[in-house]
Amino acid sequence: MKELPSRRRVILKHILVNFVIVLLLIGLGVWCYVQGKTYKLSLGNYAYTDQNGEEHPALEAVEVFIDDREPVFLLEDDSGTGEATGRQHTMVIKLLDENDKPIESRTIKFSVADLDDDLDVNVAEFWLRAK
Amino acid sequence: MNRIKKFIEEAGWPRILIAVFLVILFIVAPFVGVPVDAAFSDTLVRFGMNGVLVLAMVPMVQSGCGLNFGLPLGIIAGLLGAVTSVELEAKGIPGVFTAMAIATPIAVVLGWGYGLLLNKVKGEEMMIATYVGFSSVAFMCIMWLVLPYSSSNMVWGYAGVGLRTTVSVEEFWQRAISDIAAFNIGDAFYFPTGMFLFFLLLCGLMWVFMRTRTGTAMTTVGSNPDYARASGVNINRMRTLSVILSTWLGALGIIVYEQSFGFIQLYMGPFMMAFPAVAALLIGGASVKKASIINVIVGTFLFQGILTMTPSVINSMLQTDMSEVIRIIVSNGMILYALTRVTKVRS
Amino acid sequence: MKSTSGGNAVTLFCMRNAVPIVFLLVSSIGIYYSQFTAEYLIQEMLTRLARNSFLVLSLLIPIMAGMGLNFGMVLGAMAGQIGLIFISDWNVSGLYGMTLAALIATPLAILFGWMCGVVLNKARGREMVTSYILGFFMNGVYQLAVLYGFGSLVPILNPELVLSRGYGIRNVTNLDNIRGSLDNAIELNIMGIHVPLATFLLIGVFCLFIVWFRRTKLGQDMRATGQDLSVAHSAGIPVMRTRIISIVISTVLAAYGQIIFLQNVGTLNTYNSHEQAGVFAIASLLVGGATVARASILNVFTGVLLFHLMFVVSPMAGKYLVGDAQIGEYFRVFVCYAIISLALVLHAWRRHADKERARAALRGEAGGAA
Repeated sequence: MKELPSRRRVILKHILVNFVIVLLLIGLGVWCYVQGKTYKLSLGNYAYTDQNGEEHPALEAVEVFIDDREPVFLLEDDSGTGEATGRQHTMVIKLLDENDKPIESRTIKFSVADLDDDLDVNVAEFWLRAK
Repeated sequence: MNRIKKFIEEAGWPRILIAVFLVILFIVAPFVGVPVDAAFSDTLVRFGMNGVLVLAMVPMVQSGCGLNFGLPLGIIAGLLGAVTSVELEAKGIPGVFTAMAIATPIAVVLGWGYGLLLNKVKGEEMMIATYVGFSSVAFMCIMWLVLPYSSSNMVWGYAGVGLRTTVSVEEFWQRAISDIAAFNIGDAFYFPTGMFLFFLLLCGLMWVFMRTRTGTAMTTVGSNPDYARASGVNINRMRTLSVILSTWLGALGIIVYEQSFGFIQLYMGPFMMAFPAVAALLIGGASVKKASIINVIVGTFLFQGILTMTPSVINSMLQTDMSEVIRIIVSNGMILYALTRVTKVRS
Repeated sequence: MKSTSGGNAVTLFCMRNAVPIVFLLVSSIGIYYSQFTAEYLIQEMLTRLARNSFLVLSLLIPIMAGMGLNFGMVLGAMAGQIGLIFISDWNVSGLYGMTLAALIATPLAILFGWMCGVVLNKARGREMVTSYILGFFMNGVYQLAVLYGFGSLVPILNPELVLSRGYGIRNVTNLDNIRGSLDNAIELNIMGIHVPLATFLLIGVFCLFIVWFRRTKLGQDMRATGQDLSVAHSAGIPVMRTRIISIVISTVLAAYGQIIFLQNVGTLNTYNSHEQAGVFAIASLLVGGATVARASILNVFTGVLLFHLMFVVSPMAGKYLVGDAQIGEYFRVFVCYAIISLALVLHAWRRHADKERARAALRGEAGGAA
């Protein structure tokens, strides 16, 4: 008859398996945290000077959509807060005319890691970078 | 040396530890700014206030019905007596005795019914007692709204119907018993002699009762039911008697409590009142099956002492108000300890 | 000789299911007087079923193992709440937030459950009272931790959660970040009634888990322990360990149940939400016809439905019937506790009667032999 593995082996195997399971769960927890953390972005609509020194004015009136959420409405030199969950996001900026109807729409993908510590987003700047 | 050892063994380590802890608290108190005379006086007053309620536990424990978590039933009888006494505008000592007189027949009836119920459920008394207590408090909540009391001291001003949550007895019989032969030392120390005398009187009566034939029969029913039955004792009758006694003492106890506290607490007031009484009894060294008068006195003093001193000292030390949380942890912890003490399982 | 005729069978059915039948009657009267529309009631009942069933289901396993009604499930609720406090602080939202809360709550719940199991093993024969008191005791410890430890010893990043004095969690914590995330995960609307499909699916999975668990070795061990401790022990089952495991599982499931409950409610009453969790869950189970010794999945759903029906209907019925909604509210508290009392009394009575019958049978045999 084949010899059974020693008790020590069995116990070690148990400990190893449990350890791996705990590691996996911790990994799951970290993943949930990264994917689910909701950041509050401060959206601003200000005049902006790019690297070449060119000045661009603030946009007249825009609606900002982050990842299919409710739009944030901004006028010139206005600020608001937007929420974003997770790391990668798609921002849709709609330029509005005097009647608040959208005339042009541009999309830009960004990551929360690109932003500074205060999570400032200048919509005017993003407008230029967007397509 | 041997005598000390024997004392420790009999008293049990937890009790000794709690007593030592209490002494430490009293020693530390003045160093953290807690006035010792006021604290000691508070402890004594609370000891007297709660004593009778703890005493009420003894009959049922002795007769084998377990800890009386259904004390609210007796408390309700007492509340009815107290509220009626205020309605009748009875003041002073006669006021207190009116309350007790009215409460007694109610307590006897309620205790009798409760006793019949407990006899049908031997073995699960404590759990059922708890929920019977809760149900009756909830039921009385409805009653307090509906009963035809009309005294302006007690009724909601706006609607004119239904009793208020707390009723003050300041003008009626606050401290009526406590003040008998009471004395003050300095500003803060008040010694409620009357209340202590009343409490000791009831303790004495209980002690005597336990040594009468009925009393011993009751104890036998609890400790050795087969022997009791063989001796011709009617077990169910003894148990019902113990329940009635317990309920009646509970009614008296809450009236003593109210005259010291100054307020009658209705609605959900009595909901949790059984638990401190149980904790006190258990700290005093009683078990689920045996309780003596010494357990009552020692236990109430230790329990109320801890409950008074710990919050004051810790609050002064840490500059925060932790009293409620500490109270919860200490009282429930002690009940837990007693419940988990291994009793020899008799099959 | 023929035993049960049709009439006898009906009587037996009524006696064994006395509690739910009485409840149904009282609720029907209440529904009539409350003047609620059917649509409103159906929506309310669906919501409440989704919200509460998980908590009540967690009570099944200890009953199977003979531990009685696990009032210690409050400990699981507290563990779940601590998990929620953290994800609120870190602002993790949606299903990710809920999963993370569950992951944080699990080790805590395992610890609490293990503690509870050990204490209950020492108080054999008095499990229910002990678990009840243990619930209160842990409530005190929880308050100590959350009211004083959080914000001082445990770092809380979001100042909105903290009391104005600098430490301790606020009384009311907003759970906007996960509000409805499980309920609304799969959208389903039937005739204007919103059905929280994802939650029901989760509950369904859990029911399957319970059915499967009963067939595993551990499940069988638990059932044997529940039926007769000494026999199970002689058969070589590690009874003490099995009992502890049943409480641990129950506590962890209660933690998840509380998270599901709170994601529906959307607000966390830091110091109150868990208190009623135990009482209401147990009352619901008992209303469904379960006893201290036996409970099935059917009891769970029937019980939640009936209990919450009465709960919703009482205040309004009180208002229209007697003129005072307050009476209706007190009435439902009263019924809640009275029903538990009734179930406990019936259980003890039946056990007593069974013992008497067994004793009488033995006596009869001895008399025959002599």
